[in-house]
Formats: sequence, structure tokens, C-alpha cells
Amino acid sequence: MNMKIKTYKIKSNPNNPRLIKDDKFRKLVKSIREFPEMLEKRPLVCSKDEEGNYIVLGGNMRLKASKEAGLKEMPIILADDWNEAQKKEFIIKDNVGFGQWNWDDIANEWDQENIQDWGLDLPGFDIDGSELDTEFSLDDSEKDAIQKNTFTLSDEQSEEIHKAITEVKKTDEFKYCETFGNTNSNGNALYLIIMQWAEQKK
Amino acid sequence: MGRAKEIKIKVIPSKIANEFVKKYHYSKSFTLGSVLHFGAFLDNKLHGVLSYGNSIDKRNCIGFVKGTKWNEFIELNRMAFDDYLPKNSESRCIAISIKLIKKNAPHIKWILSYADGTQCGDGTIYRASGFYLTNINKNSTIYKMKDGSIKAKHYSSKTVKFDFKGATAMKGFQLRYIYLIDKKSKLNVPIIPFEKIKEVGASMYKGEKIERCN
Repeated sequence: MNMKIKTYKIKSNPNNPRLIKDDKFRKLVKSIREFPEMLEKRPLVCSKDEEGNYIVLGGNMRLKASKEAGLKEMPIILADDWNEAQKKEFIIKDNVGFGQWNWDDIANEWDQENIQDWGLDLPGFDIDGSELDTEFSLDDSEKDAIQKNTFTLSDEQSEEIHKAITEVKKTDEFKYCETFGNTNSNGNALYLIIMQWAEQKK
Repeated sequence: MGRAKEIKIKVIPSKIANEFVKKYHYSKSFTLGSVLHFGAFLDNKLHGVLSYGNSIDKRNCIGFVKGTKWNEFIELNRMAFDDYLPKNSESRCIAISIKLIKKNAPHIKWILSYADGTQCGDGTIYRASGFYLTNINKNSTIYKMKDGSIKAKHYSSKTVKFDFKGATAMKGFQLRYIYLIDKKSKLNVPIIPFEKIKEVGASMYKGEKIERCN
């Protein structure tokens, strides 16, 4: 049965293994401020300690957010009939998400602004698309835009260059190197090395 | 079509496109040959990427359509979407991207793409988008490496030297599709009826081998 307890008497569980990020916490505070009735239907699960404090087993984030939202009282359910092992098990099981979102339904049947405001992270990359365009240009020259260049090198020079090419290919910069459509990895690696050298010279 | 019509297609930087492809493409890899990347936006987030670029084997591919000059075709070489986009989004995204290519790069006369019937699908999306099926090839280039990763042999020989010792060729087919932007263009390769996919046992949808009922 739900009981209403003064918020100052309810303490967070010092062993709570869950964390909340700032932006998510702000959303939770907002959510509770706007719809505190939800706490009646989903009370905190607590156990009472020897000093008469109510220690939260389930709902530590809601407690923190409710305090921030200025709630003086909160509904709780007591779980004092559980032993320590059961309490520990509950702390984890209460937070395990077994289900998964059907994003197709979310995209089609729900209001996206609300849903993000309520704290659900939608998949996809956060990119400001407002400045992106639909215009572009592609090379329309009729010639093969690839050149083969020959340089004469000593064995030592050649070895050093190949070593550098091999090294640069292992870097993240190589993954994102501008290729201009060239698919020859040695050429792309050499270009990247030159660009890095040019950058250093600046 | 539902909310698919709300999708906005924009040109996005390669760095973002490649990160997205790495996360959502079944191969977890992007190609260095991509030069044009379209992003599919819905609800202010990026949910899909279509990367176009030069074919690895451009000199051989150029002959698939009669009289093609060096820069008159492009390959759709990566297409990746997350689960958020509604049904029919893929073909809508392809259609818009083709429209944009037609507008901004009118010299492009046709588009080449491959469906990987060893791990992904037999090209349902391409068929829905008006591509012609022009080849069904038993896979000889996609290999499962000893560490479980998947590598393309023809590609690696030109870029990174992988050790293919102990690697096994993936079972399945690769299907070649061509879309003619310039409807006057003439294919140099035969058009294969879609029923052939089932006949040769190349049917695959979302990584699962299937029996088509059509």
C-alpha cells in the first residue's frame, strides 16, 4: 500500500549503482514538475533503517529530481518484508530493461517533441541539418582524373616512404582523408602525409 | 507511405557519413571511394546515409552502358539506415538522391550498385526504385576472415593488405543493379528478369536466406 512520506525523511541509497547525466536529470525534474501525479501510480520502493529513515531501493533518480522540483511529500511502498539479498536483487532487476522500443511506431504514432521532452533518446545522429544544402557538384571532366607519377628513389628513401605510408594507414586521419575519388590507398596515404607536412609548416 | 514523405535529404560531410555507415551498415565499414554523401533526416536527426562515389573497378564498369565517358556514371556504394525510419523510406531516399544527382550533376547518366546476397539482401530496394538487375554472381570476393570479420578481397588488394590465409568465401551471391538516369542510354549488359534471383537460389532479405512467394 502507498504511504505519503515527507521528502526529507527519504534518503537515497548510498549503494545505488545508477547514475544520471545532467541533461537527463533536468528532463526528469521537468517531467515531475509537470506531471507529479505519476508518482502516485509509480511510488518509490523503500526500506526503513534503524533510525527511522526511508532508504530508497527503487526510484533514487525520482527522489533526487522530486527534491529538486520542490515536492514536500512523496508516495512510497515499503519492502521491509524482503531480506538483504532480495533488496539487492531488486535494485538491479528494477532497472534492467528487457524490452526494446519499436522505433517505427515511435516515429509514426507519437509526438516527437513530447517524447524527447519526456526524456526518451531517439536514435540517429544529432546533426544540425539546417545549414546543410541539397546542392553539390561532381567532376564532369571526360578524362580519367587519376595520375600516375614516377619518382626515382634510393633504396633507403623508398624504404622510409613505404614505412611512413604503412604507418599513416593505421591512423584515424587516414580513414577520413580526402581521396578525391582516388581508390589507391598508397596514393591517398602519401597525399595525407604531404598534407600533414604542409599543416606543420603553417 | 506514412511519414516517409517527411524525410529530408541533404548533402552531408564525409566524416559524418562515414561514422554513420560504420555504425549502421551491416559491413561496419565505409569505402574511401565515396565522394558524395546524402543524409536522410527525420525529426531533426540523421537516420540514413547514401554514399555515392567512384567504382573501385571503374575501368571495367564504364563499359556496362554504351558510350559512357569517364565521369558519366557513379556508384551507390554504401546505403545505411537505422531502425527509426518508417517503411518505404529507403526507396524514397534513393529516388530523391537520384533527383538531386540529376539536377546538380546532369552529366551523370547512370548509377551502378551492388546488392550483397551473402550477408544483406538481394536488392529489393533497388528493384522498387527502378534499377535493372544486370548480373547475379556467385560470391568470390567477400570473405570471412579467421577473426570473424568480413573483408572484400578485390578491395583489399588495392588498399590494405589483409592476410586471407584461412579465410573462407561467404556463401551466396552478389547482384549488380544499374539505374539509367538518361533513359536514352543503352545497356551493354543484358537485363536479367527478377525471377532469376529465386531460380538460382539467390533470394535474401535482411541477411536471411528466403524463399520468395511471388
